[in-house]
Amino acid sequence: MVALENLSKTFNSKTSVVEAVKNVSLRVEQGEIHGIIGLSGAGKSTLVRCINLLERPTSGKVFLDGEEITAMSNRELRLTRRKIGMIFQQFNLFASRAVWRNIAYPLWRGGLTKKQMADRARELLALVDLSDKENVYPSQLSGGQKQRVAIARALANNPRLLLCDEATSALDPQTTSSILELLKKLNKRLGLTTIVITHEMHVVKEICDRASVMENGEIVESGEVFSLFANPQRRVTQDFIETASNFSKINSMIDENHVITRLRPGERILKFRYMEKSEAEALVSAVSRRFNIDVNVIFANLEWVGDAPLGGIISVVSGDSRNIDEALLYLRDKHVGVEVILDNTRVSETNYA
Amino acid sequence: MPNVMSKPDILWRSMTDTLAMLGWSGSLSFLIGLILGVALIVTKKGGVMENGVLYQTLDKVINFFRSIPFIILLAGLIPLTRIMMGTAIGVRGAVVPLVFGATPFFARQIESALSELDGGVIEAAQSMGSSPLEIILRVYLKECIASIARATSIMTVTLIELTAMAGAVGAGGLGDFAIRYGHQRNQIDVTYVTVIILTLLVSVIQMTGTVIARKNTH
Repeated sequence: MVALENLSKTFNSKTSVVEAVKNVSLRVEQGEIHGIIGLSGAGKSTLVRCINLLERPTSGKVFLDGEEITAMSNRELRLTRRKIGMIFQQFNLFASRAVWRNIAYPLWRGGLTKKQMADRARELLALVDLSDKENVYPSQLSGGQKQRVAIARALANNPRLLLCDEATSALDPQTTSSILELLKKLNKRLGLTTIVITHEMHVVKEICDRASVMENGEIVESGEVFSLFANPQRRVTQDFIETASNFSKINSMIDENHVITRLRPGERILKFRYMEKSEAEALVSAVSRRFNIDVNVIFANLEWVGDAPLGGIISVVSGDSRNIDEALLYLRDKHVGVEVILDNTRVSETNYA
Repeated sequence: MPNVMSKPDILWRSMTDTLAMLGWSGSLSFLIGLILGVALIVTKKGGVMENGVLYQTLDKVINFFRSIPFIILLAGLIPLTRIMMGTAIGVRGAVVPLVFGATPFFARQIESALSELDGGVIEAAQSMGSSPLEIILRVYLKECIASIARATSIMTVTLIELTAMAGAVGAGGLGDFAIRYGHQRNQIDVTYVTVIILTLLVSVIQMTGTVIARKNTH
């Protein structure tokens, strides 16, 4: 569907040369929601602008359905852009046009009468659940409503591809969820291939099928969302996962000698993580029953990616030392990663993961 | 108001002259200034029709004309005015220097009015496949009607000032009327009446601009 080949974008200014995107190759399949996650300045916005050539790449090629966009004339490019919808962090609606006229903007010169354009706008407003706002001006809308109008406008010409540049970053968490839900619905209902740029981990978790992690202009890791987040290979990916969980708190609790981290002899603090897609089993009660140990949960962070649980728990485990060791072997067979955070049974720390 | 009452025909003539000068030079300055202002915005670095050479040229030419005092422009343009209009005096003779005086100023005003538009909106239009011309007509000019209206009323009021000055070199109009009778012949009521008429004129222009701007702000 979308293929980027060795894409680079360099910005030259008098004082410096910035390589915003470095030799990126990426394929996004038809009907996929692909997330591109990275810290600000990682080059993700530049990368997405290279797809519809709002930024012309310094080198490399962009293909949409086999057609090379980077080789098109200006006129062909403009026609192709009508088939690529784009939404933005700041919505970018036309303030002087009522909602329906915003949506009708890209329909101009499409051979429709004014009435047909109004009808199409109404149809799109219904699709984004904003039917009562057609004659309102953007300034009277909330952020979430503005983004819905922007989505409707981006869909006016039945695009094959939707580019979302930090589309939820200016919205509160609740509105973010509703916009993400809408994007997912559109993806399902229209088969709309979607590329989502974000710096928020939960956006990727919530709607993406596959994701790429960007750092310093490069895609450092890419893959199916579950495996990407279950087994992050790169530091930056791990950091993103940390931001979405409360696990890092355990370290400061140990430093502060929090009451729960003052272990009695034989106790350990362990972190369990799902490493592979698995059926959700009652693992905690299973190991405590089978091996006669106590599992006291301190932190739990479980998310559902598709139908598989992602995340894990941190808990204080106590009981007979040999029983605990056996329990850990049992969990490893179930593809649960175990990491020892604090151990009051032996001198050296062991990593079972 | 004995002095004013004794020459209603001259007063009337002065008013129509002022309005004629204002109408002609105002429309021409509006049109040319708008084109130049848009040209400045779109040829600027990062503009939708980026063109460094054209931008630099326009920029320098506009600065040049803006830096010439109007009274010197009036005299300096006499030969050109003769060629274009066939005369250098009267309303016809005044239009050329007035346009030269007001247009560069208005072009800058338009440039600053259009630069208020958020770049993201332009980007959105580009992402929807709009051509540069379409962006000028359907985005810049449409989105900036309010600030263009405000700039236009400022430009028109400035033109009234300039017509008074042009009056001094034989263009006629209210400014000339006030100087000739009110000032030089010390007919103080003529000055007062002229000032009142000009105040009304300025108010009407300012109000029109404000109303248009308000109607186009949502």
